[in-house]
Order: sequence, then structure tokens, then C-alpha cells
Amino acid sequence: MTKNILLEGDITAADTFTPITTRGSETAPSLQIPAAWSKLTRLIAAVAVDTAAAGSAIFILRLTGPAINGTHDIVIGGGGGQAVQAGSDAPPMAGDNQDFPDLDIDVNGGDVITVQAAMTDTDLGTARVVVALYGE
Amino acid sequence: MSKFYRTREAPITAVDTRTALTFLGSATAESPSNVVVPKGATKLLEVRVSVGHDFAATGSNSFFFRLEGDGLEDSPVFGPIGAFGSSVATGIRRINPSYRIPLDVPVVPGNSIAISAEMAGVDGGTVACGVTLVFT
Repeated sequence: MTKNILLEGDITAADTFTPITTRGSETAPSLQIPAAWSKLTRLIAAVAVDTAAAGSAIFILRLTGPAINGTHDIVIGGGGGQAVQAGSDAPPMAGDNQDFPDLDIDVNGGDVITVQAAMTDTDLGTARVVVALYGE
Repeated sequence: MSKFYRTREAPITAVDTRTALTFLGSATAESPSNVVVPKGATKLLEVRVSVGHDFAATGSNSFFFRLEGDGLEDSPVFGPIGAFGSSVATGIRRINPSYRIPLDVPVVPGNSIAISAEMAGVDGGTVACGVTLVFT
């Protein structure tokens, strides 16, 4: 069985690395890397935004904290568009999973990881991020 | 050797204009900020790229990145990011995944790599662009 760490959260401001710390009904899940892990082997993430405001943005995931040697910033997507006009429909913004199957980042097993995400350039509204980390 | 992930981003606001990607979310004050090749890295293994398009104007445009500097043993390196087109400038919104571009470029630790990107074709508006360099 593959053990992993799954986290999700909102980004509500532009150019701000926001902690991603919840897991649905679990409001404060453990951020501790399993003691047996020496590296993160895979990352799967998805992001979408409600486009409450028009503009364009890049979404970046940041992995840092005591469990990580240094800081790793990874582009997980870009998005943008125009605000919906009154009385009209707009297509949904569907963010597919982004798979990084050969992530290969060293970690210190037993220490805590910090996962953050940022929406750069334009504040498009509320963005949702979900990320799963796999290790060994 | 594990991997190192380094990211830069910036908005592209004009067509056929070399736009330096020197930002990282709120980190804009220290720009221009090129990527320093991490200590211990020997190779630029891949690039992850994405753009977020506001579709403010109709027309078609394509995007590419350029890497150059003494951090690369063989410079410059180019790659495509994507292409878009629209016939209306209302109600469009879209999220784009980050795409992986495999590379195999020797690097010089401690030296720097300048990342830039361009919009070609028709000026479609403001386009956020993000590039992640993956070293090993």
C-alpha cells in the first residue's frame, strides 16, 4: 500500500504564498513526514479558480520546512479569463491533476513539511489547490 | 543526486517583446533575479512551463521561453509553452496545466540562468507566465 500525504486549501490573494494545511474534514492533519521516508518520489496536484475577477495568473506550489533541504517552487498551472457578464453563463474552469512522477526531493523523515501555494500577478478570486505527496 | 526546483514568473504584456521572468510571487523587490544553479547540480534535466491568459483581445498567439547565461554550458536554450486563439473577447476563461519539456543541458553550479519568455503573433492581452527549472 502506498502511503501519502494529502492536503488542500484556498488561495485568496495574489502574490502570497499561502499555507495549504487542511484535509477536508481534518482541519489540522499532521504535516510530519513518515520517519521511514528519505525522499519525496511523486507529487500530484490540481488547481482551479472561480475567476471572480478578470486577469491572468500562474499557480506555484512551494515545498519547504524542516523536512525539506531548502525550498522548491514548482509551477502547477496557469489560468485566467474575463469576469462573467451579468445574465450570461461561463464555462467551468476545470483543473486536471498535474502529475510529477519523478519528483525526487530529499526529505528528513520525521520532520514537518510546509506546503504553500501562490497565485501570481492577478488576484482572480478564490483558487482551490489539492496536493498529494508520495515518498519512500 | 536528488532534484532541485527553481521557479520564476512574470506577466507578458506585449507581443514580440523579450520579457524577463524574474519574479516569484511577492518576491519582486530583488529583481532582476536570475536563477542561480544550485550547488551540486550538474544538469538541467527538464523544464515545467505554463501560462495564464486573460484573452482580453481576439486573435491567435503562441508563447516560448528562452534560457541563457553562464549557468548553462550551451546557451541559449528555447522551448515552446503553448498557443491560443479566440474570436471573441468576452466570457472566456481557461486553466492550463504545466507541461514538462525534457532537456539534457550541462550546467555550471553557482552561475546564473536568465529566463525570459515572449508572446508571438497577435497581442492577446496580459499573459502570466511561469517557468520551473528542474536540476539534478
